[in-house]
Amino acid sequence: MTATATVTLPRAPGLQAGAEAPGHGEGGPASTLVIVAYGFWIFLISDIVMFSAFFAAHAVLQMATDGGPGPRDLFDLRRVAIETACLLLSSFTCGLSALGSEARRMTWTQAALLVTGLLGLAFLFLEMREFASMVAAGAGPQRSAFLSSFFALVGCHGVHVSVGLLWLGTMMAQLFVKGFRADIRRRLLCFNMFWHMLDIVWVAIFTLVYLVGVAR
Amino acid sequence: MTADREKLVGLDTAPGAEAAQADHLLSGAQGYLLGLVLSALLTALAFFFTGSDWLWGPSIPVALSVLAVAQIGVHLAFFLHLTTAPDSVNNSLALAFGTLIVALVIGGTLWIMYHMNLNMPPMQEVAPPAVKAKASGQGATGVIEAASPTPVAAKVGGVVRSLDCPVGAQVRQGQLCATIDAPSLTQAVAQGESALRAAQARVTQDQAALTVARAERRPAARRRIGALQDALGRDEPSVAAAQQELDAAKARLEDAKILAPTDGVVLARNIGPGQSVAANAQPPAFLFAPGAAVEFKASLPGSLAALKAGDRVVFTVEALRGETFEGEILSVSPAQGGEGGQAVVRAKNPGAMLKPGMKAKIRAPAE
Repeated sequence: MTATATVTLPRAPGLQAGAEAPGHGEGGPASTLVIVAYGFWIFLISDIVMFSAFFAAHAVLQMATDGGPGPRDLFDLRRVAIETACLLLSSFTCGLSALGSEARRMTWTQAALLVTGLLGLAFLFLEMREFASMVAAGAGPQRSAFLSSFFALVGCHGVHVSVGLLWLGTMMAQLFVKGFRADIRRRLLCFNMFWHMLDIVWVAIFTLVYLVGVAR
Repeated sequence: MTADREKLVGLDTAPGAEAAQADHLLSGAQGYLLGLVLSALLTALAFFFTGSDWLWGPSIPVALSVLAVAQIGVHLAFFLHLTTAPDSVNNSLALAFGTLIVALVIGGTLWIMYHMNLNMPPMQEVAPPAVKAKASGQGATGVIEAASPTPVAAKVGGVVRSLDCPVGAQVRQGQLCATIDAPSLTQAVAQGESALRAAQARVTQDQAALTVARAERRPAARRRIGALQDALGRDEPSVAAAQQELDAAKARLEDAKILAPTDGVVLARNIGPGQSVAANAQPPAFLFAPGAAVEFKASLPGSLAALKAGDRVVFTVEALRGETFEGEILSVSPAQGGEGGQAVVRAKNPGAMLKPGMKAKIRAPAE
């Protein structure tokens, strides 16, 4: 553990220099980056717990169509495939923006964020059109319990994407004005996690709601 | 620098933070690219299995769930950089706790609801009669569907001469879809024409003879005038009768045309050009789907039980509050236990306001 002496570490006051057993709190207090990101990580997990309640409701009500249209009549798997591709690609470009911000490359970061936002918008547009066509066909949320749970679950994800897009625009502006300041980079990291989490929820949605609904 | 430090002292890693040497954009992008390719592969597999018969049907949802879990793993590893290394223990533990809660919520819900469904008595035993009728789809409300297809057969036998309206074509009411060359019809017209000419010739002859007879002043001629006038009196009505017959034969020529009965779409066409068809043959020559019409089946309220096929009724639609619509009863099936019979109602649908899936309820007879 001689190596510890070669780097300066943030330390809690009163901690003896050269204390043994680094890591897990003993190497000093965690950096602000770790604390902020960990806190946001906990928030994301609680958000997923909330989504799980919607998933549970949908799983229970999947068959309760009240003689109305069911998954096979309503879901267009081609559109779902395009939506999935949009979100997966946006998750990828979001990752590229994180690399760019780590390397302090402004153009790279902004371009990756812009592509992420455009793909997110495309996803949202397709989802809106799907909802509009369903409501126009008399298959709105009030038609059956199945459709209520569908609109609640998928709509909740759509609201998350919309909020994510607002955040994305804000981050692009902040990055442009304030540059790669430590606090901006922390926010960018949190936004990255949020966006990846949205894609993870979408994986569960397109599998359990759309594909299983049609395959059943 | 940060990476060096973390390697040396094993500080905690921020969740989602870049793990690789971040100065190198391309080496970092490789990890994301790998994640993207793996995710795309798993997604494509999931969509492929959904529409295929490669897997035993009931196992498809299980296979899809496995693929989804695998893809979520890929996302966590390659996009969120979650590892099992000691510096990531706090992140993994938080995730593990979240997963436990998610499993409890979803698994517990499914488990409880499954057993509640098992322990429910079958619906028919507990439901009152009115609800029972509703459950079997025979309630007072009916679900609007597209109108049922209208068959159109040839009215006369003959050979198909001209043919239009292929399957799938949009047609307008009264559009000519086929003409049939019916020898019996053209013969009737020819016969009618020759009969008319013969009758007209007789009348001309009578009139000429009458003129000649009137010019003579002998008493014999007087008697002939009487006889000729009688003959003319017989022959003139026969001209009118022949004319009538000819008109009727010409009108029957219209039977050789097959016209679209309503605006709509051609569903089936069972005749080909040059083919000979019999009158009212089965299957019918054409099947048309009425475009701007809808149908629904609903039981008649007790007060309207006397209505029969052909009557018009007013109905309302659940999704379009405040609007009333008018339709025609196509058929009524006998009543079951007190209530009015099951009526099939067809309504015109201008502007396509009435959509399949909407619920309609019969309210009153139309004025």
